[in-house]
Amino acid sequence: MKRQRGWRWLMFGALMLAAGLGLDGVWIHAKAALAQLLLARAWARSDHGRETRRPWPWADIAPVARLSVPRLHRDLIVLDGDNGQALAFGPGWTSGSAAPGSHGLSVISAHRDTQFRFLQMLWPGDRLHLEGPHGGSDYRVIGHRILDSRHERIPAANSMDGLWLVTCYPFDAIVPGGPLRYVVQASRMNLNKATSGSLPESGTIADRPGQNL
Amino acid sequence: MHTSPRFMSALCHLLVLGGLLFGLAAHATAPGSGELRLHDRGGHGHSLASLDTDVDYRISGLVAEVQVRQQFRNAGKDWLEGDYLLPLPPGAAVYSMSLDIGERRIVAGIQRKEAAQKVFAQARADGRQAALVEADNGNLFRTAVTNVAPGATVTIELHYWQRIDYRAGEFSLHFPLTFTPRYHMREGAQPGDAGITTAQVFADDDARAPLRTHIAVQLDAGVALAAVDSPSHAIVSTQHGKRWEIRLRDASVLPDRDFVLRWQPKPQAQPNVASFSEDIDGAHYAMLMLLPPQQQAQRLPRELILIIDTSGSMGGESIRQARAALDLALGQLQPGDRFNVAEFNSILNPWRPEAVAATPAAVQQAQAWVDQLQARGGTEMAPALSFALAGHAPPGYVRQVLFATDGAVDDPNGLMQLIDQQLGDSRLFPIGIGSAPNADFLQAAARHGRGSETLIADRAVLDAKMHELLQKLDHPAMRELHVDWPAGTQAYPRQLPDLYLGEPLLVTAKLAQPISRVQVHGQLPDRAWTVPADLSASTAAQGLDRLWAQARIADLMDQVARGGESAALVKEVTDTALAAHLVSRYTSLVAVDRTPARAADATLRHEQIPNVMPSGTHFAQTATPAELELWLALCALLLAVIAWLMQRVRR
Repeated sequence: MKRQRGWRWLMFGALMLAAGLGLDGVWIHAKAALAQLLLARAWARSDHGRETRRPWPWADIAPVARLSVPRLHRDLIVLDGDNGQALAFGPGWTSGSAAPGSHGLSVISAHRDTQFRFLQMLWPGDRLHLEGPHGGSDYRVIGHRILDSRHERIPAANSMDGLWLVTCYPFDAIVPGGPLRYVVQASRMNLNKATSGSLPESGTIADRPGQNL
Repeated sequence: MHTSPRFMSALCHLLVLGGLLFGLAAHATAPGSGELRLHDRGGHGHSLASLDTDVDYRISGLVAEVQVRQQFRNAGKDWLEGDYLLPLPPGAAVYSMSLDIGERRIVAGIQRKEAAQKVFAQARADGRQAALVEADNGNLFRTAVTNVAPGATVTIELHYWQRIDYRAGEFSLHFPLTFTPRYHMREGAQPGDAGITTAQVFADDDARAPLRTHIAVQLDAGVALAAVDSPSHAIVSTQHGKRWEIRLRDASVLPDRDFVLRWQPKPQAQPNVASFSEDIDGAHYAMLMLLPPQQQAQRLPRELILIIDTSGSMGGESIRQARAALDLALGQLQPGDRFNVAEFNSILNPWRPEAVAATPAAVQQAQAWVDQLQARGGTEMAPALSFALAGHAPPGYVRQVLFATDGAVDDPNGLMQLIDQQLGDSRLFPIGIGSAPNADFLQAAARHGRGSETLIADRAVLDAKMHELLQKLDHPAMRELHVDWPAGTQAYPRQLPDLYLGEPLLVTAKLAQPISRVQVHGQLPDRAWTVPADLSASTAAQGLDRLWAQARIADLMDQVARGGESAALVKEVTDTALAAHLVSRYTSLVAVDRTPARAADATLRHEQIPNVMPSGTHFAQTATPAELELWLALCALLLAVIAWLMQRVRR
């Protein structure tokens, strides 16, 4: 009798544990999917990222750009920062890099198991479109690199012109927090300034958030 | 009561299983990091010129003599000339340069900058080998060599003196291996703005930069040391009695970040006073380091004015850092303090027109107000500085202005004049925000505002740096410091700064005759403070004459920044630099070989050795624990099923 009760306790305990872990795991994915819907709404009101629009009232993030991959039918709203809180909701623009769509190296990171899972399916020649506060740009994927974040840093914004999409590597690792990064490198095809809407204020410093000296 | 251990053992099994999974996954993520670094961008023209740098430090007490050897190699088929922008630490007194060609050594002479440029250009035209070292306003130097034969290697050897920092019980030195692109030299800047006409060129891929650096340090601290370490590089340090030898663990490193070395004296050996002297050519030089007693005096009520830069350049992570910094500062206010907050971009927007009492409710309101600030618009800093410095604190209060900015301003000299005129009783503490704040501007603002600057490059250090600053501000400063030098003494800095907790007084003087002691006076909040400093027992040191001349030049250049480049000031700087054989804004070192090497008809190619971009931002964490959690959930589910089955079988 006592034995049976022991097994029953174990069963309940394990079930609770499974439910807790499972819900949290599912919640991470749900949050990432749901946030994109709200972000898309905020983006539509933000005049191409020129105005800060909160996707929900208490959010400390705001959309800053929109990244689309026509071949894979991906359309993602990019947030103004790549800290952990921001990345839970969507791809984040590294604030030290060039403003999305402007001259210089822009860097966008996202989780390998949610929004940027598709990076492994990008091939050289694929087109990317990035729309930001300073107009839109088309990019062409030129290749990818795998690098070790313990030894390498994101290059300075004015060291090259292009777009880096960054996520963790390997894609199927189970434990998060590994040191490797998968970087898709894309070069700019054209700078399309003629995005409808108000033009950004003129000024050299404000054009490059985080890079002014 | 059998259930609970059974449950525990099951949980243990689960944990073991989880641990196993962890182990497997961790193994999968770290496959020999080096081999996976693919570089698929080929066809990069290999540079013909390469530059290796050897830096040798000899540290004795608070003074370091540094030798920088730059080996310039011409691997091409043409004759070559090359130049390189070399950043050196602030206050470096560069006094010697020589050009080594094979076994021969040509020692450089000091000349006015224009004259040196002419000599160098003439040598270049004549086909003679030559080398030049010149400087801009700050601490950026340019080294150039010309007429280097194909396949040949020439070496430029530079020597300079440098003072060691001592603060909060820790010695430290910084060697800047590269520099952040300077704003005035970027797009639209005029060549020559910085006093040197070479444009900044940065390697576009630092893996290919033809630059390698080696650093070695001989350290004689003068006191017993508890630890020597470097937060920037892996080092190997060995102790030989009182001396330490330190070198980089790697044979050579890429110059993409400052080299920082720190050493801490044993607690009982922490120096409170140290003096050094040098007699040379009939002149007497002294350097005095004095640490005021650590004040346990009561905390003074204060009026804290917080100013936050919300210009467009602060967008993104910077504004978050700045808000967090202000939030911390507000949280430290105590009942009885007074405070105010203001933001500025194109316009100034104060929270309250005047400082108010720091009641919990007021602090909360201010924190909420700070939280909603956004970055947009231009940078009009002058009205904000005026606003911050305009008020007067009630008697008995200390008035401290914290100013969070990235320092992206275009008229620093005008702002310095404003600070000089309006500072009054306030003290200015600039906080540098963002990945590349304008450190020059922040340092200058702190010097003119008689406070000290705090640089926060990384969000990870924000809390620690702000706590350090706020703790310092909590302790009353030693004010109105002065040293009773005998008549005829020239001591620098001329205006001694207020000293906060852990900060030593450091002064360099030229004396008419040797003296045995001086009195140091200061003002503590509750009393006057006087202490004699014994100079008769001072340690003999070298380089004080040049460090003194460098301090004098810095003081004169400060006057140039305040009042403009008057002929009298330029002459004074030039004379001081020529007398002490120092490179300055107006003087350069030039070395020219006697015999021509290159035939007049042989072509001469020019190469600028690119600097390496400062190591950039860290990569973000880009994986969620979702997958791990789902796997563990599955395992738990399996366990539950097994338990259920077992329960049924037993029945």
